[in-house]
Amino acid sequence: MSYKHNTLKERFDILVSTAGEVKKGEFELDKNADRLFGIAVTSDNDGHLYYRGSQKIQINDQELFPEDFESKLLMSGLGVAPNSRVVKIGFISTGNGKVEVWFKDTAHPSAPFSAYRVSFYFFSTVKSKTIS
Amino acid sequence: MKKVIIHIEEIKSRQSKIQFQVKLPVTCKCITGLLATISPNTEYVPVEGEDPRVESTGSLWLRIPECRDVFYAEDVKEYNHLQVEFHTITPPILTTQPEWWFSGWKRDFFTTHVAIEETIIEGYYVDETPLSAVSYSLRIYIELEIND
Repeated sequence: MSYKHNTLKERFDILVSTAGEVKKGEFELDKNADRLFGIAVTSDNDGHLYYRGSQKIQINDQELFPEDFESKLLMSGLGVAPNSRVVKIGFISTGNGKVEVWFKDTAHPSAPFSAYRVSFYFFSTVKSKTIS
Repeated sequence: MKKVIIHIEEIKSRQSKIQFQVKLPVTCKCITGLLATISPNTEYVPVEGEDPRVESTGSLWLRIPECRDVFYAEDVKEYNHLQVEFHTITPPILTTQPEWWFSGWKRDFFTTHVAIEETIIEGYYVDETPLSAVSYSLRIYIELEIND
């Protein structure tokens, strides 16, 4: 978590250990998070995430990305400028800060399964009272 | 408010022609973004005489019946080469002709503004894979502006 530039950056991990599984993760954003504006996804095995991953993401029961939304659309390569690597989603009120992720692993011929970690990064603005 | 819906078509035979419909939510105001991807279901087994470098997997058209005709057309491609260059800093603009649907190496939605009166979209897809074995999923992502 960091307050640099009045932006909260939080990371949550999901470990995919079985081929073809759907793994649910429930996370709570920081209480000082006001509006969620960006998401990025990385992995310790980018190839697996790129070819095999898809997910559904919700915040406060509001759907941000529907089921079967491929992870490769939320990833960025090194050729992307660092400030452009976040997928912008508008400014969504974090409410109670409950984020739910359903990550689905799907077999792909180019990436035989081995366990991998998926990291979700959430970028939010800080509540104005918190900024001094 | 923005919402993304995904329509999936399974393509199982070479040069198949598929017509489909996508029902949009009744609260939909306009389409703001479109994106089509390909996910193969089987491993490609090289066949003598075939070139495995697929340039174009197929052609996709989307239209709104009775209101307007085709509003989106694309040669859908499978970007397997993307993964190879994903980890390296390759400035694509300097080395090759830039392709408009990439921002660096990040897939981007094609931005558009298509006002919606009828909530049915008709789609038409033709497989153009030169390979003999065909099995893949075509996913069409439609980003919508909807009423709260």
